[in-house]
Amino acid sequence: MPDAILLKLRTMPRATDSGSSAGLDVAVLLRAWSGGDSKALDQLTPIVYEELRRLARHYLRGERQDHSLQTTALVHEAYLRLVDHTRMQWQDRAHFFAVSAQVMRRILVDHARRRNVKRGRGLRRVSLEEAILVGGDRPTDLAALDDALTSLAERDPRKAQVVEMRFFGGLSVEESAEVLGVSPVTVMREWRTAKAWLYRELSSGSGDD
Amino acid sequence: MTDAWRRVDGVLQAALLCPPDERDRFLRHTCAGDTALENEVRSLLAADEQAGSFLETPAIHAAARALAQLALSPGSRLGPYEISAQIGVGGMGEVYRATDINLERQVAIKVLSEAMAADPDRLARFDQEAKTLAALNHPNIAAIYGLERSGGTVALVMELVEGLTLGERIAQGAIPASDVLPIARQIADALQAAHEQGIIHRDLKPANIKLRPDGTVKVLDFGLALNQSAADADRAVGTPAYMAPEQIQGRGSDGRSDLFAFGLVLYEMVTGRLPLPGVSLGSLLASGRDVAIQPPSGTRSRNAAGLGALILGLLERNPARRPQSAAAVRQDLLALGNPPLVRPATMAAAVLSVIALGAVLSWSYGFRAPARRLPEVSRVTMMTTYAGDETTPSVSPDGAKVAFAWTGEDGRHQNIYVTSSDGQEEPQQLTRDASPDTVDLFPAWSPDQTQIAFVRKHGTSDGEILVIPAKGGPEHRLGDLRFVAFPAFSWLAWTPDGAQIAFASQSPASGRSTVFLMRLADGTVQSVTAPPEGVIGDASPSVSPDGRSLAFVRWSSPSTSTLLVQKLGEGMKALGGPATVPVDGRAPASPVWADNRRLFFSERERILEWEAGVAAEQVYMSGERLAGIAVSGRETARSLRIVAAQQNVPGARIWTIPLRAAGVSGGPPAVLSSLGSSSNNPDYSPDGKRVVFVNQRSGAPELWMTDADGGNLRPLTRLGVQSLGVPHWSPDNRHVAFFARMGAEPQIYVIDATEAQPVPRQITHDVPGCNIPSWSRSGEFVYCSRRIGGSEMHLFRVPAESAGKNEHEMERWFEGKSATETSDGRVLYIKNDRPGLFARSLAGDPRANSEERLVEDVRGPIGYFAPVSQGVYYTGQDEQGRYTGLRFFDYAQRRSVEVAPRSLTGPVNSLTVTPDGRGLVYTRNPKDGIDLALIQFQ
Repeated sequence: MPDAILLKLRTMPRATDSGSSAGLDVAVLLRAWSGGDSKALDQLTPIVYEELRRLARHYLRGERQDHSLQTTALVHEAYLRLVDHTRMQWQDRAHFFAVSAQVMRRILVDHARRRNVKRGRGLRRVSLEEAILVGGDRPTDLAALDDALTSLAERDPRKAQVVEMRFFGGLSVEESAEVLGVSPVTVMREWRTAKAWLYRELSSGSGDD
Repeated sequence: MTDAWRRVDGVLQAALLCPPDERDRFLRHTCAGDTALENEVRSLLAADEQAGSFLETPAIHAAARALAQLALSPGSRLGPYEISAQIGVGGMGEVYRATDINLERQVAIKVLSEAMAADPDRLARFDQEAKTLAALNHPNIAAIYGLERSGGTVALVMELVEGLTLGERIAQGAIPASDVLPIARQIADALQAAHEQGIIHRDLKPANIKLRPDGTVKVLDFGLALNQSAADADRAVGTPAYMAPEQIQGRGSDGRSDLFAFGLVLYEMVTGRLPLPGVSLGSLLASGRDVAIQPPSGTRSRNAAGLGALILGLLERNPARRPQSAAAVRQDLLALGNPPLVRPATMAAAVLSVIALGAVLSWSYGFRAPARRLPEVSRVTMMTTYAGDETTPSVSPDGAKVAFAWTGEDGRHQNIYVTSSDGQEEPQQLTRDASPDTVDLFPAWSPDQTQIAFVRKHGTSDGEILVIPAKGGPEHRLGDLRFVAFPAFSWLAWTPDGAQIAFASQSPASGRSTVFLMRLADGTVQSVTAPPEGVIGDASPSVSPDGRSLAFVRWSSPSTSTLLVQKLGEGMKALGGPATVPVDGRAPASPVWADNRRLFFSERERILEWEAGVAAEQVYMSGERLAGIAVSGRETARSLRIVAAQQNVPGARIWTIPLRAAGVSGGPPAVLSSLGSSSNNPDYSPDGKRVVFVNQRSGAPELWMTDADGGNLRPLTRLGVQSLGVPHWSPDNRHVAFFARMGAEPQIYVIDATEAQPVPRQITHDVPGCNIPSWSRSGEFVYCSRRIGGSEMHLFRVPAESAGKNEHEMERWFEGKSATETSDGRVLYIKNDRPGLFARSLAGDPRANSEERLVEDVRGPIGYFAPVSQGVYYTGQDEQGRYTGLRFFDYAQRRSVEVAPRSLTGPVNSLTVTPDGRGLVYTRNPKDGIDLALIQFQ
């Protein structure tokens, strides 16, 4: 484990030790959710969300001077802090990453949908904040991306999984390959074609130029 | 997976492996007449080319930033308030400048701390007091407009007061005698009004008093101090330096405690300093000691003596011996004329209290601290505005160049680049990815400017120090370093002789980050600092120009640090222990020497300057002159006093490039802040007086209008529709045409901008997809485009007076997606799906005229274009499918020139020229990342 994470673990109280999330065991919740208990995610989301927010602020308030926010490091760190290792029953690191990507997707997309509803009285609208998340030269709504990703999953589940892991989970090509049990080259190929398909799907929906 | 999809996917993957010029042949061959398959694959290949950086930045990367900035990043909204910049960080929370979009006025917003926002009891008390304050309505008290709750955020909305604080004014020196009384009387007025309503300030001090440029004084933050710490009853309320003895003892405070603070404020105004600098007079008096202080003015003038006596009276230990009310003090101030105050340094000491028991503090030296001239910001320029993140800037010793780390446009390959400090040059890439998981950063110019040292990070904690010729060339590895935890960083610093480099690395002995010096000649390394147990360690070294001092930062936790200066002796060995630089702030960082006595450093979002023997003072605050700049960089060019700073750029912005002549840039791009953040599609009225643009500040895209100078901002539409845009002025400066999607399909509307509550009139008939309107120069027609049949876009011409009822009024012309007439109305510029930009003469029936292709240097369809009489500005895609920057096609010379490279503009999102032809105005896609700004000091 990188020193950085070790230090954080030593010097900061774990989120599960205090605050509103007291008593909830993240590892148990994660396990319950991956086992099909959809309610577990509702309990999980605010904890993870708060933790990410706290971490993100740490990263950005001048406390990490190089400002190179390492996505994977952030996810790793959040989960390391949330999950009590000794009680983690996942031996499979890959499985853990896959689940984390799904949680991230749910959190971010739910957040986007809530904001859309709030701002647009039910209409879907691109807010700048969410638009920037997707990148590229054209703003795209995270909620729209989520829909497109769902329809991609219907025709090609693995491509959708690659996008979920790379974009929502922040996993590298190699990590995604490990999770899926395929070669990195395959991940690269799937990633590129999935992006093209999604890009087309999302572009065709916008009528203004 | 269906077979059809499997087939498409297979052919697509294979096509992607083909060299681009062979794809066409491959597809025809492989698809063998299966046009559905071929079309599908071609469409996906096109999408692949356009996708660019789509999805390449992981969502959490941006999400973390968005989350970290909470609701209040510039451009965001809190209720009806649009945040424009952070203007301060106080004890109570962060303060932002914002616009009330309903009342269209500027306000200040103070975000309450999370702890407070989460405590219903405290919030209720706060709410109550805010209401009382809101009712005060006094010209010398900054008004409270109310509390705003949004999500988990609670903020106090207040009057925005422009101008310096009294503290900032005093920092420039004692206040001239003629100015003291008018200010003092207004403060007394404010205190009297509040006290009569039973409101005690409890934290009166120069930082809470604002001086408006028109001479009005406004007292801020009445009564807030108590609320702030109500849940923390053990702690005294207020700022110790200004607190009355009874406040410090916790014996309760009343209006007379404010008067004690007022006495100190007056003293400081007259003398430029507190009676006992660095010591709390209140706590000395509270401890029972008697204190001798020098009176602030002499006896030669009756009035000066009168003011001096009043001040000393206000500073009495026993509240009963002070003037008993603000009203009485105000009367005394009114009774004093405008005294020619005599400088205190010339005065003999007087004794305030009778010396009895305990220690005696006597201050006999001259009162006024030597006047210190603080560097003033003379210019702030955006230096790099690329896609991706630009970080860790280092200015060359002569100030001409800046080296920095850049992630590249895809945000994935962080290398070292060099550009000119005016930002006008294309960045020159110095390092190349050594391997996919390395990151280059912290460049540092050698004193002779020939080399740049930098750090290459491998993973989280391992790194090496390398050096590369400043003009490019082979890298040379100097040694390894090991990052310690957070903050995992290490600026490098050359010694002035260029023989050694200072860096921070984990000490093998202690495990803590330690500053080392490495001798370039033989690679030997010696430690310079010795961080004690219990801290994370030392980082960010900077060596003074004379080589005698080393400044560095000692981090005791990830969020707290101290700034230290270590004297260096022979052979750069440490002489004694390091001295602490006193800093008002928890996390000083990134020090750099301005000369042998002065240090620039950052503290969160401020830049401060410390001078040996004198205190550190703020010289730049986030938000000054440039919205949303977060300082976390550092400089070098010492003689020029330039600080390069990192800026977090949160929203879409309108940018402008000055034009010297048609097609000739007159300077770097600058944010056109007059139109506000997150605006798009600006269009200037032909008379240059007004600008119409699209903004989502109300929650939905609407047309907004301002005068050309940014004043008189008002909404033009209130449609609340999902999609709306591309406004274009009529030649008579009266109407605006735009598209909006009110029903299933976008249609073109015309609105009268001179009316108070204009109602848009639909001019296109209800047919699918009308887009991108543009007026004919005659004012008679509006051009627009529409999809015909399957996919082809055709241009239409509609009478501007049309009521949109008759489809036959829509006159179909020819293929095209958008069109604009030249200002003389003789030529129509047309964009369509084919590469280039096209022109047709409007003489006779344009449909019969031939079409001429103008722009040869774009591969795909043109992006945005803006014609002027001499030619046309445009943006497109180059041979590699990348966006070109902004270019200009000269109609007479029949050739294109670059106006601004892509590295400067980023992907352009709309384009127009000001009516006088002096400015190119464009919008940039929102960037979530870090740019570099250059802050110059005088």
